[in-house]
Amino acid sequence: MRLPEHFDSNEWFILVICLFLIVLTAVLKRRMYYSQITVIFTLNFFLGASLDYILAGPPHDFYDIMDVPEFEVFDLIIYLFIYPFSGYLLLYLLDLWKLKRFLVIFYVFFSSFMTTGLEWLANKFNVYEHNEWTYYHSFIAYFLIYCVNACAFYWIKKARRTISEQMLEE
Amino acid sequence: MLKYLLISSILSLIILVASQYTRRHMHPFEMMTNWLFSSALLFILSNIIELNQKWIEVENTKTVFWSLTFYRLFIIPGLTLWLLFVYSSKTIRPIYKQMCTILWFLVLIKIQFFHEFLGLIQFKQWNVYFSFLEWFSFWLLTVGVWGSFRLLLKKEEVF
Repeated sequence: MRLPEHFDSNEWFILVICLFLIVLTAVLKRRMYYSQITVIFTLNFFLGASLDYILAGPPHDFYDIMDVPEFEVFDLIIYLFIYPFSGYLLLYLLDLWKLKRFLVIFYVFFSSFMTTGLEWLANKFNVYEHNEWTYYHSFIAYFLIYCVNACAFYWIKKARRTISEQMLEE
Repeated sequence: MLKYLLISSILSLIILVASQYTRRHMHPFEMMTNWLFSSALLFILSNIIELNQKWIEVENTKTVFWSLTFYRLFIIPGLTLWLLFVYSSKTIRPIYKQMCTILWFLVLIKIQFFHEFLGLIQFKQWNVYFSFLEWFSFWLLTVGVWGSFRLLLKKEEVF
């Protein structure tokens, strides 16, 4: 795996965001079982790795991540920390505010809008370089990713509840 | 090439449907986590081997790309889930579990060489030992994550 060519603004940006997300997650009171958190983390790790492979790699090459088009250590840090922790925090707030129906759609829509804004900020730090990709595409992608996350969250909750009920019956 | 894309799509569908059977011994959380983790790991390994090291050169067409992506999204994670299903079964004897592991390695190595035979990929600095090493590290990580997650599920009394 490649190391960054220059340790500059984009690497610092990733490290600061990483640290912020880890500290925020550690400070917040845990509302889910560790098994549920693992599922959410793995889902977002998968979404990051697979979508970046499909969209950023050849033959599509819609955008580049970090300094070089190849896979580097900071790409892995993004997949292992930034995507899973942000996915978890998104669902944490969804659970905390107990949103229902229309509000869930609005929440997902608003979060996608905010994440697109964060991507704009990340672009200023050269984390991403768009080739044939626009912020409109990013917004659609985030909206779909967050919809998958929300669906997974309700499934995880339901699956866990069913198991608890089965255990009580036994 | 289009014919091969069709075959891999049909194979993916069969593997997806067949994986439902693994629910007999595996928890849905376990199935989902293993499937997603192994698929993500395959994309990362592919990035390292094909994009960074260029040990394997891939035909730069969309048909080939999607054929190989179906393998990484469905077929290999599905086969791995079946292997973990065999491991988690208490009725299967250890000798059969070992035989299934060898079979799993042989199938995955064979698939890679079959792709080269079809012209989907070209080996630059690659041989059967590298292939074994790739699948061994993949197996090690997947089984490690599966084992740890299973322990966590048992600790939380999910099953």
